Amino acid sequence: MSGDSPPADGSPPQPNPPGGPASPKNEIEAWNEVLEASRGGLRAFLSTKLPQAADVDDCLQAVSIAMLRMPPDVPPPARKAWLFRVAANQAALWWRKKSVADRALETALRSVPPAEAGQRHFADTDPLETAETRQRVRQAIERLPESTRKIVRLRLRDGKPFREIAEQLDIPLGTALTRMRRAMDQLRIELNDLHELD
Amino acid sequence: MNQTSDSSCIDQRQRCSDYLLGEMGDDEASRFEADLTVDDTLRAALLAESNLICQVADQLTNETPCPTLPASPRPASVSLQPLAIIVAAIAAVVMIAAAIGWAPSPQNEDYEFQLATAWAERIETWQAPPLVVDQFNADLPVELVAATGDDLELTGDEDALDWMVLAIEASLLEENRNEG
Repeated sequence: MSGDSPPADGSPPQPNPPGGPASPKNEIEAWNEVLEASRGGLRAFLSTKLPQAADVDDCLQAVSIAMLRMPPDVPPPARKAWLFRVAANQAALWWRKKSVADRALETALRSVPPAEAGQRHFADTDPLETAETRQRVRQAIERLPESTRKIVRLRLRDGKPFREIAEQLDIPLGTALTRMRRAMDQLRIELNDLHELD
Repeated sequence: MNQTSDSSCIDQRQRCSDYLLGEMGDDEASRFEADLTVDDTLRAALLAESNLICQVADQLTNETPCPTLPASPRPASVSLQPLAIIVAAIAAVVMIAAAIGWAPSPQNEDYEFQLATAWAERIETWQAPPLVVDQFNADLPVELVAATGDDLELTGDEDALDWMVLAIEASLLEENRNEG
């Protein structure tokens, strides 16, 4: 996981979580904690995508299984985002499994936009598109100023809180927060995420 | 208008980022989750921000220490090529020379020794017929004339050598006779 590989920029490695080094058991427990902390948000998110509460429960169960079956190399700060992405994929998968007629009926009853039901998610991206996306992301990160890139790395990869980042870089806390926000704004624009919302 | 919608989108995305990265308090997070159930654009923003965070985190996790190769090693690797070719050529010449004709003397010496040994062993087992003394009676040394068949039986290495001497002398006499 994130604490195993040495940082590329020479920054201090992420400290081991309390309770010892990152063993599989510790990792599962950490993931379960994130899942439990996110369960309310995941349920609220899925309730608008799926017709019934039972379907939401099924989807949450699928998210849990995906989390335990495939231990992804996701740093702790990004795990909540990863769960939401998996939840969206599972919801899309749930819709694809239903027949066209059932989907039309559910759409009519629940007023779920058809476009959202058929929205393409990361579950069905082909390897070529994934490689292209990775390249775009890498280039966008490299275009960030070095001081900003360092903050993004410490926050998203190493999982350090902003207060600790500010102390390490010897900058004010507000500066660290501002740089992080600007970095995320730039990444959104670079990766054209804003235009996808239109 | 576009700028306003963009700024609201940015704000929405930032709000989603704060929620996903745990920057919100419990009350604010509860309000956010309540908004999720009624706001389509907020849900879309949450999904987009989740994707972005996962992509960036994945890229940062898999960063290599040296994303760009330095230019300096290239000339060194190119300059080593002729030297490698020369060394290979020398090695090939040596191997070919060894295969063609340069036979080291120990092999020759070994061959001669084996030949002599084989001949000696053969002579040991070979019971030579007695000399026909009459044929060489006038020319052979007295010792040889007096030799009998029994004396000529080979019993060891010394006998083999004697036989060799006799054979050589006999051949020499034969040549003299023919010349005469």
